[in-house]
Amino acid sequence: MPLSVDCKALPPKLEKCNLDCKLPWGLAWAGLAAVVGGALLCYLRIAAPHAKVRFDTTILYLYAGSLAFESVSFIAMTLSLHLYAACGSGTSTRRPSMPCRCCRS
Amino acid sequence: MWKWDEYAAALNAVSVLQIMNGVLIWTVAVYMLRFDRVNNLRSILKYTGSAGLFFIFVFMILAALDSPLKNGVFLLWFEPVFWLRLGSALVIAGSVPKVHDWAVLFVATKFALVLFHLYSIALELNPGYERDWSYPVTRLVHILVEPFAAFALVQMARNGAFTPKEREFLIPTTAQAETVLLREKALAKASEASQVTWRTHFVFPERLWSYGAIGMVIGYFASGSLLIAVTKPNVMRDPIYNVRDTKLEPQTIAEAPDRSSTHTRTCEFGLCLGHRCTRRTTRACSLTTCRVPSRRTSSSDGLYFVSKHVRFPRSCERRSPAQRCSRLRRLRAQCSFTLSVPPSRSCSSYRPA
Repeated sequence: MPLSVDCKALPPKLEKCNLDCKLPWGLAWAGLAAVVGGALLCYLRIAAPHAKVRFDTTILYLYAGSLAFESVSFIAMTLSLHLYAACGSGTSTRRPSMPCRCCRS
Repeated sequence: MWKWDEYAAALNAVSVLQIMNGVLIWTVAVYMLRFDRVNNLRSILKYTGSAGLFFIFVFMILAALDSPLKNGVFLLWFEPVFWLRLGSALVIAGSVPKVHDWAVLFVATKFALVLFHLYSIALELNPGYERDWSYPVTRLVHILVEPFAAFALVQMARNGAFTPKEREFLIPTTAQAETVLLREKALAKASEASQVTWRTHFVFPERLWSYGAIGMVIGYFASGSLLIAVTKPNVMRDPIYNVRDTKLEPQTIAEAPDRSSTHTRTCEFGLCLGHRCTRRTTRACSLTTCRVPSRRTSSSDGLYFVSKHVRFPRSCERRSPAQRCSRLRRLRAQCSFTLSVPPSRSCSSYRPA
């Protein structure tokens, strides 16, 4: 058992979810929205017409469309964060070891 | 004019996309609101689409001007629809017994999403709130909750909650309409005055409720006006706010030699005692209570806020200015503090003999 801990050797505490953390979480949500929307669309196209009792599917189509929009929006937002935020004016949380891909001279 | 960098432009483009998404969300909400009526999708889309286009137009102008008002426009478009959807789902839960449980599940899931949406807004307004878990938890809740919301909506639709149906109690029969028309004609004839038009005004609970909205708006406006114009609250002096106000914390802890026993007080006698020294009226001296906010170190939580009341004898009006001002000095000496309000001129200029 070490008697003392060298604090400098420890990694700094993560204050905020940085870009490397936000990228998977943002894409995960967008992917989930796409999966749910896709499943809903498949259900509406394949299974719903054969239901024993017919029902109005309009609202479900609208909801599936909304999920599709959500998916596209969050993919765009997450990717733009990944691509552009690192080149901002000092607001980036990207690790210095990871080079910025898009900075223009 | 165009001040965007790439990231701001990308975010603005995403926002426009989301406003377009809002058209679909609004249409879904209107469908849920009118669940018991025959809906015309094209007609609803005409209204929601027009409103969406208007918001996109306004948002793009404000984004081009780099105005922070664009965030307000974005919220104005999205906030009402979330609550409208929740309220409509609750009405469905109460009105269609067959889908009650699914509607409740839908409300629960969407309410959780709204709460985290509000949390995201709080983070936008003050990035200092953000912690390492904020972003992952927000996304994780979306991921966990959204499938249940979609499944609940499917079950509501499958059980016919949104299938067009005609309900007798909502559509007056021909006989009832004829009776109403005959009654109107009879009333108009009885008055025998062409200038006066009689008409039957139908009153039902929803209409009475809508009349109440006028009173509510007036009431809220009046109470808000009184609050702002008369009470004039100062949040900076609110004790609840100051419980978490840690601006003085490092300084106080650093000055305190012993965290567990020592406390440092910040006194604000200036206003109260200054007032007392300058006036000789009984009314001024009846203000015998002077609040003394103290900040003390606690065991682990930093600082907390306590109030202490200092009482003065009611006979103070009979005291001379010299007595009153010596009392002020003694109190100031007791507390190692800095006056936040300068002492009154009469006291500061007073010199004891």
